[in-house]
Amino acid sequence: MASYNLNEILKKRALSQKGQEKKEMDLGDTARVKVLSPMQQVFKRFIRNRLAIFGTCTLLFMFVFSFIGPIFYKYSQSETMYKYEGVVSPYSFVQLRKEYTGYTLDPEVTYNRTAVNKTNSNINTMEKAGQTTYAFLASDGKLYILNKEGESIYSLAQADLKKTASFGEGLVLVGTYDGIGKTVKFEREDLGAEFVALAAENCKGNSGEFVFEDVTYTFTKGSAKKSYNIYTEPSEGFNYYGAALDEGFENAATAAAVGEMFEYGGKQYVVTSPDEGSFEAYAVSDPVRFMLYTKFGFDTYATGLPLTDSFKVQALNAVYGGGPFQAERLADTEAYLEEVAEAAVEAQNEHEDVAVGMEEETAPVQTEAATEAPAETGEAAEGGEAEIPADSDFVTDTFTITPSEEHEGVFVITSSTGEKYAELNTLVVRRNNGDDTMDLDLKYAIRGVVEKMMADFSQTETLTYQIPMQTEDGKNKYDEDGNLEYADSEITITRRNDGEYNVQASQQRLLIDKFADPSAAHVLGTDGDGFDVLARIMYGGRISLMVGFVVVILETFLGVIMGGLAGFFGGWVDNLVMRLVDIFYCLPFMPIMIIIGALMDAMRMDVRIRLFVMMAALGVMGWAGIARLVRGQILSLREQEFMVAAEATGLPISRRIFRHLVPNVMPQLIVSATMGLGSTILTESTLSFLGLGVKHPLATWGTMINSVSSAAAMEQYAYIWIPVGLLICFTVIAFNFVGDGLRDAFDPKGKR
Amino acid sequence: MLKYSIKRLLYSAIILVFVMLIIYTLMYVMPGNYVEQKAYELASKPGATKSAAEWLADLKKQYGMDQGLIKGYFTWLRSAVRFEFGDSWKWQKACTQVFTDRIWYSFILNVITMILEIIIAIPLGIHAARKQYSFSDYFTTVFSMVCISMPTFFIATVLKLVFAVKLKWFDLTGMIDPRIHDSLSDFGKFLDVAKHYVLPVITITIISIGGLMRYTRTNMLEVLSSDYIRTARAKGVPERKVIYSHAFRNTLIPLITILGGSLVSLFSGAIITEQLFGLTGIGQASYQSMVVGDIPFTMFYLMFISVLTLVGNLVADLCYAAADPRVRLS
Repeated sequence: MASYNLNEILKKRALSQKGQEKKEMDLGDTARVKVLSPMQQVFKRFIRNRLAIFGTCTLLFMFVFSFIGPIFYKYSQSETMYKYEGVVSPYSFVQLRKEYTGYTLDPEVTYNRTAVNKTNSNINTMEKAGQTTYAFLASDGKLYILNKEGESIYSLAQADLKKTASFGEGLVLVGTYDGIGKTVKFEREDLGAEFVALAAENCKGNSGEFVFEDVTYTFTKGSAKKSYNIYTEPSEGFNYYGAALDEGFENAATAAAVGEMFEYGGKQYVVTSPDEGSFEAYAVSDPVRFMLYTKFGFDTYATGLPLTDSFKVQALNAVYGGGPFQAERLADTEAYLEEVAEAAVEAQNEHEDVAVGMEEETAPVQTEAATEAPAETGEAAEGGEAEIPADSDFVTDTFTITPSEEHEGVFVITSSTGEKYAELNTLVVRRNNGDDTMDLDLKYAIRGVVEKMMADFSQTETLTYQIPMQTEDGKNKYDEDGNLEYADSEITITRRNDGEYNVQASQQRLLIDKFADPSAAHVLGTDGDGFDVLARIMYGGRISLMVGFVVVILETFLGVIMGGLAGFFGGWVDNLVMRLVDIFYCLPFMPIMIIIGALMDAMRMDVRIRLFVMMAALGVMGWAGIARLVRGQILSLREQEFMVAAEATGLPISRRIFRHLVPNVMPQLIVSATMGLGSTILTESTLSFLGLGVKHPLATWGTMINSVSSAAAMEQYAYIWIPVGLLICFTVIAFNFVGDGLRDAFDPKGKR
Repeated sequence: MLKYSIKRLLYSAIILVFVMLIIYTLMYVMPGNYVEQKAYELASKPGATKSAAEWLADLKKQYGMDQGLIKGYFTWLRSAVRFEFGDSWKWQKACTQVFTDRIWYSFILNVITMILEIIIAIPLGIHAARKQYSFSDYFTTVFSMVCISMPTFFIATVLKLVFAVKLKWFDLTGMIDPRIHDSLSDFGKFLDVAKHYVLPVITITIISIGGLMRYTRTNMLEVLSSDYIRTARAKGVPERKVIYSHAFRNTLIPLITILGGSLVSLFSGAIITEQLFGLTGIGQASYQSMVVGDIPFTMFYLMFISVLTLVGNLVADLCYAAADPRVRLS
């Protein structure tokens, strides 16, 4: 502890004081009396006033806050904030394919549409019966043969038929009688003109019979007009339509089931049954395979790679056919994918540029219209699998197709370079619009869950996986290098039907960050337009203070001119100016400002012009008080000796007014201007609050409170409007305190 | 005094003519298509009594909007002198009818606030002046300054948040509680309306209290520093008597002047407060009319306010003369 001797210290102090006194002056020295200039006196009195000092400090803070603050603050007043938020929406669907999809193998074959359309039901029948081949006659008189190539792939072939024989109990078609031409077209041997004449005689009504050469013929009305099909009772055994064949054929035909093919004598035959108990045998020409049916869906290893139909057909053909196959592929896969990504990025940037450009112009209505155009281009760029660009280069490559080692029932297509190119899977995962723009990994993640769900029959499962993030208009978001940006997203899979699953993902989408709570990034949160509240408070302060200064300078200028003229010249000038002052005093201030505001609304005035008009109006409405004050002062000053002296020395009028009178009015002017600043800010904020002052993209304190003053928003967003309201109060109070302090300082004895 | 009053009245009338000329000009510069559009808009609303063409025809006839500025103005002046203000577009009634319907709501509001203002502000002001530089003086000064500096809408919003949203003591807006009002007895109805007046009254009182308080304090200080008070104290008059019988009476002179002047403004309505609290007074009516460009009612209201201001000034001067016999009106 340091020692502390009071006596010593007192002695020292006494000594030093003595020394000082010697150095300084004695009692009579005039320099002892400190003389302060009038301004110094005013200043001294001013800083003694605590309230005035408080006001000054507050004002200094406000100026730094609103004029220097925005320079250093990272957000501007109309910069929309965005954030990523999970938006739950249908993302994709999973389907265990049951229907078969057809791919044209041979485009030159003309086929009967109904025959082909029945394929799926035919395959169903086949699968139920366990058949591997199914042949049927179509109305075009051709045989269609469905053949199971392997699991999940069927081929459809077409063959020409030649009627060889009919057998069984059914009637045998002799020929068709044409009632118009009165001819008979014989199916088998020609029975002669007599038969035709008899047929012409008898074929009437819907059906009937007639006898010709001891054989009874029956006829029924045919499909064509006035045509009749003429039948005869079948003879036992086979009725051949051409050269008769031997018993071996007959046995084979009888043994064969309907629709089944059998071989005889190196030729293929098929048996059909046009009627119960009656059969027909046809000779079949070599069938031509023209369609392939499959349950497989194609997934490419590179996301969103387009596959041509011919590739698909070749691949399907090769699955069970084995061996490598030749097919077209895009010459440069990576270049293509890059191109797609680039286009998307470009669309994205273009959009951003447009949005930014619009923001500068501050025309919200236009922004909406303008953003639509790039949105459309973005869509086109993201077309995905469905569209193959016309100018793409295709090369022929040799692919091999092998069953997958990891997954059952999956085939992997490998290109000649040994790189995995695509794969076939019956559990198809697609985006909701049918596009194939999903990652293979994501597909497998979803498939894994779906397979588990199929096994344990659960209804809903969730998983978390990386899904591309979206921009604000729902497009995928790319980074600068053209890569998709991913974010972990919650994925919900719900069972819809047997083998069908809906996938809902809460995709991270860029949304306007509205009414965000205060956080580190946004100290006071954001408002309803996603603007940073603190930034808007700063800019709002700028405008409010600026409005205050401009208006006060304007009204002081007008007031000094008018008041000065009136006071100095007196007489009719004084009379005129004072009557004008009376008129302006009488004008209802607030209603007129409201009307002007509504008028500017009606004219749809630009926000900035509006601001100027408002400032001008406030200034013009406010000069009367200052003019009255200046006039009063000048009237009394005019009579004082110094003015008489000034006049006597022959000073020009302008000099007398501006060098001798106005400086003497300055104190009062400064005080009234300071007070006026406060009240102008108050008026401006009230007008803005009513929506009649400064308008939206420009921030002012009044508008900010207005935007959250509805009953619902009031409570929830108190953190927006309470700070703003307090700022208004503090600024106005500060101006009033400073004004009061100045008044006291300038005129300490005067009426307060 | 009578001569003086008549002279002032005539003079006021001339001022009024010019004031109304300025206001008429403001209306006159409204874009014509805007006026037409507003007329069609208002005429197409349910309950419209006239078609837009009729409204516009009335406007032309009564307000001379189709003539030149000066000529049109005199057309209007002629109808105004005959108290013909036409029908309000917004309210679909005669302007004078809207006025008589609503003026009493505003009047009551202003009377209550004025009484409160006097009860609170004058004693506080006198107290502050008696103990200059004391804590209570500082408090009063700061408090009055805060009151003056508060924006109306901010006070209203804070009051609404605290008393209507948080505490749920009052409704946010409106004159009556529409759910229960009809089922109440007459006295209950009165209480219901009174309840809805509480927040607006508080708002206006806070706003207007500061000025009166400062004024009272300043005047009291001036009186207290005058020679006759020193004399009274010197001869040993008790302090109570000095304050309340000598000083206070003299302070009253300027107070009576300004209160007399503001008596007339009791009728003027409180535009912003009434609008914010949904009071169906003249202030709200005028605000809504002004915003939708209802020319007849706006003209009527502005004229009314101007007349009030002029009459108020005259009353203030007369009050001054009445309270202070030294003042001679000339």
